[in-house]
Amino acid sequence: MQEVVTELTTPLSDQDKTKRTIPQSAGPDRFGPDTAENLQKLFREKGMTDYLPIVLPTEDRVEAMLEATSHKPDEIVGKISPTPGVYEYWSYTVRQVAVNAVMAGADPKYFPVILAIAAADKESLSSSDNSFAEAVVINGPIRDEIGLNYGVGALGPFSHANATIGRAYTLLSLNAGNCGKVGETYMGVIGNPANYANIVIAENEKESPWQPFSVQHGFKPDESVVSIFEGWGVISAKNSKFAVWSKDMNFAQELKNIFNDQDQLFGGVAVLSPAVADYVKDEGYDTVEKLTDWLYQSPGEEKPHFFSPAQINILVTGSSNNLYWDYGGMRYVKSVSVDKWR
Amino acid sequence: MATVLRSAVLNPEGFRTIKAAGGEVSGNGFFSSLAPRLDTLNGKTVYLVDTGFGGSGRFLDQSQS
Repeated sequence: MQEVVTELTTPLSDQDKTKRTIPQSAGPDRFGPDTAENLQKLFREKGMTDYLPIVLPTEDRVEAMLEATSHKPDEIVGKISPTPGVYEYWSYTVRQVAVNAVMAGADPKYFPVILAIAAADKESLSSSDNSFAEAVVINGPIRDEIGLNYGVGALGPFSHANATIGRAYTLLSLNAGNCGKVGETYMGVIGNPANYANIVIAENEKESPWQPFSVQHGFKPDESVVSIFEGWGVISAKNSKFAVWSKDMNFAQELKNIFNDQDQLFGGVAVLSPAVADYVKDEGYDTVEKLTDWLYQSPGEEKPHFFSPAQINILVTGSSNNLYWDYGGMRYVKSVSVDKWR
Repeated sequence: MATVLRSAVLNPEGFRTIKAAGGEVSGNGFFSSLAPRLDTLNGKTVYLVDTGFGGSGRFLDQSQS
């Protein structure tokens, strides 16, 4: 307590009294020319990478990326803050998103997806000491157009599109949103391995028994959409004492048991394989809404665990070679049309 | 021998967005001084808020003792 009193009564230092102006410019427009090795080192030392090698954003590579959208290079796409309300926002143009997309190794045909993510105004690297993770759900024809993986290993590093789109989101947050500056705009106690390339979830719409997530939220089936989630991340349901294989599987009850055991901050998200989703549908839930309503409060259940059914989200991806599924505490933030950024 | 790139590389950083009356504009940020400190807390009331983070309850218990 004495420290509190001391801090409140000790005169301010000259620095604390100073009214300061912080320049708008983040730095020069470009670096070099120099050797590739020196430029890689420069970007790394400036904290502009995820400490993996980047594709150097040369003018011709950035130009090729910019050709993949009808939007003008100087158009403002959006703004990101490491934590809105705590840190100021940084804004970014189509060109600056393109620079980060090149650095991530993205193919220009992925660029409308990356622009849509950037337009969501949502950081992928929160300053919170909670070490949050971010997920990007992708729906619509763009999934097949650019080769997103929604089969075996859908959430793993097995597709150029999934990997580089997710990585671009982190680099964008780091560079264009001023996030991830350890000790200044990043304070995650443990850190989160999902931050390298985020959790990219292209839904397996073809094999899902339910409407795509984007359609559940008002988009048309032929629209391509990204939807952002934030929270702790996802892990296999086999981590939970409630996911027990038995002769008569009851996946809906498993889901309910697991969700009711979770923290309420972010609600619950389940990432089901198509086979598990089919089982759940056959248990009587022919729409996701019926399922989430029941998961929120079943008949006779006195008090719901979560605050509303909207805190529960169900996604379908992956293959059906076994009955595995993931769960986590992640909340839906917003959806953005990819088509508007073509 | 290291290869010298023919082209420069572009800066990936965004730019600060400053809140201003009527909306947000891009420009130089202006930060005020911290609030002046008091010479003494005698006769003043200091409010400590339990934000619910781990250990904050113990801190308040210690403050009361």
